Amino acid sequence: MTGTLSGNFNGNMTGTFTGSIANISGRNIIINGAMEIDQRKEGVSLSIAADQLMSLDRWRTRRNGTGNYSIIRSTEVPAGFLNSVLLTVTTADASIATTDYYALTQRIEGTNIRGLDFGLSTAKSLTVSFWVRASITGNYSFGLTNAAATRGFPAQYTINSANTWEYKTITILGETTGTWVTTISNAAELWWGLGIGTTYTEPATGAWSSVSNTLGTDSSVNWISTNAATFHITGVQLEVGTVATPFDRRPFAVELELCQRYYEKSYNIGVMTGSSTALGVSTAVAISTTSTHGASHSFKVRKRTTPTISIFGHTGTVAVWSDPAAANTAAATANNACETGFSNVTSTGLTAGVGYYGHWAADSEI
Amino acid sequence: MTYKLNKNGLIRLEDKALIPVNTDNFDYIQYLKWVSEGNIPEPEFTQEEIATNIIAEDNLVAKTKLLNSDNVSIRLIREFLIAKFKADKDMPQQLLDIEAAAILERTKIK
Repeated sequence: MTGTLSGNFNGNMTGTFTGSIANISGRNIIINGAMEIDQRKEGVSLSIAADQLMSLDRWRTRRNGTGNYSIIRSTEVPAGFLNSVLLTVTTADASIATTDYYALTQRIEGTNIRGLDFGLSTAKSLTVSFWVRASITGNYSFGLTNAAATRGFPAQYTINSANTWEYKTITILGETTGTWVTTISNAAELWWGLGIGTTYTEPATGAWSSVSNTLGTDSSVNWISTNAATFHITGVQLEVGTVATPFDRRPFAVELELCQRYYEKSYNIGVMTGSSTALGVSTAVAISTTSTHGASHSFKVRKRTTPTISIFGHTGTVAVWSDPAAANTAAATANNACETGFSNVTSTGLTAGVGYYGHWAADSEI
Repeated sequence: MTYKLNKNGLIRLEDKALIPVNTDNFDYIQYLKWVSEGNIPEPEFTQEEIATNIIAEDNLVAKTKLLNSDNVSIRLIREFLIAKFKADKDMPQQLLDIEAAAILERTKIK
């Protein structure tokens, strides 16, 4: 039967909803929870010997102490996933000081917690779920803090078997007090603790703590204390409600665009930032020793805020531009950066009439 | 980390990245923290760079003057040689060709 249905529906619709909440996308507040997107390193290991270094998109390493570890995208996975992130202790910190901390974290942009009503009497509870695999068993620390770290939710989860994937869920009560950012700035940080000093821990009571800088829980595993200890995690989801639903797998292109709000590069996906390649370069022609024409760049995705811009030569050298044969190389730094791109490159040592190649990376991570 | 002031923000000297003056930018927040610890960024131009820029500007002026002088002197020499060769009636063919080409080009100038 064909035809056109027109008119106004004024009745009541009754029936049974036969779908599943698990089939509704957009539930996961975490970005790159499946650990597939690694624009900066593309599967190359990064040594963590300082605080707040970034490796896989959106995932932040925290390190305050004498211990070091490495981070790399891994193909060791539970069923249904392609990647996890692997952390490995490279220098053990056998005696964690009270103010030391080691953790993998993700910061949540304020615009992504609008609707949670945190700080209000109508605050909604959240549930975080993830797959984890570690070489050391025991009770591990988890924490959620607001940006000012004046409110913290300390919790624990248990790894029962070494080197075995286990699925964990933690329910976080809606927080009715405290200041919660709802702008483009940092609103909250989720901490998977790997060794946290007592200055930053409180008991896991299932309630929010008003003690400043509560990043995790007392009596948790100090993973960083064991050389070569490993920790994998993937399938990370943070969602509204008290029930963990199956992982919200968004299309790869969508997940990549969500990541590119915080980091974008001129290189192909699969090519590490700073690699030697001419694929994806921007080009400009020098009109004098210090000026070029054509050095204008638009981002594929508008950035969260004006990003930091790094320039790379197509031979992989930082902060230079080169002609295709790399016979002429000139120092280069970006100019006029904004949310949508940058318009020029300041350079010295150019050769007039020569065309220059350059790559770029834009970082507006929180 | 160390930093240098720039007309568009800051240059992080370790990787020459441009950091905007923007309190929502993580790297700028890190810079402010670095300053609060008593650190001072390098000026946009060092004394050496200022001196280099002055020298470069002086060189540019000198080059322009030299170019003008050279153009005048070359023209005078050429006119002298042409006058001399015409008087001697022994002007080389190559110079004759160049002069003819120059006359042709002059006719094109409006």
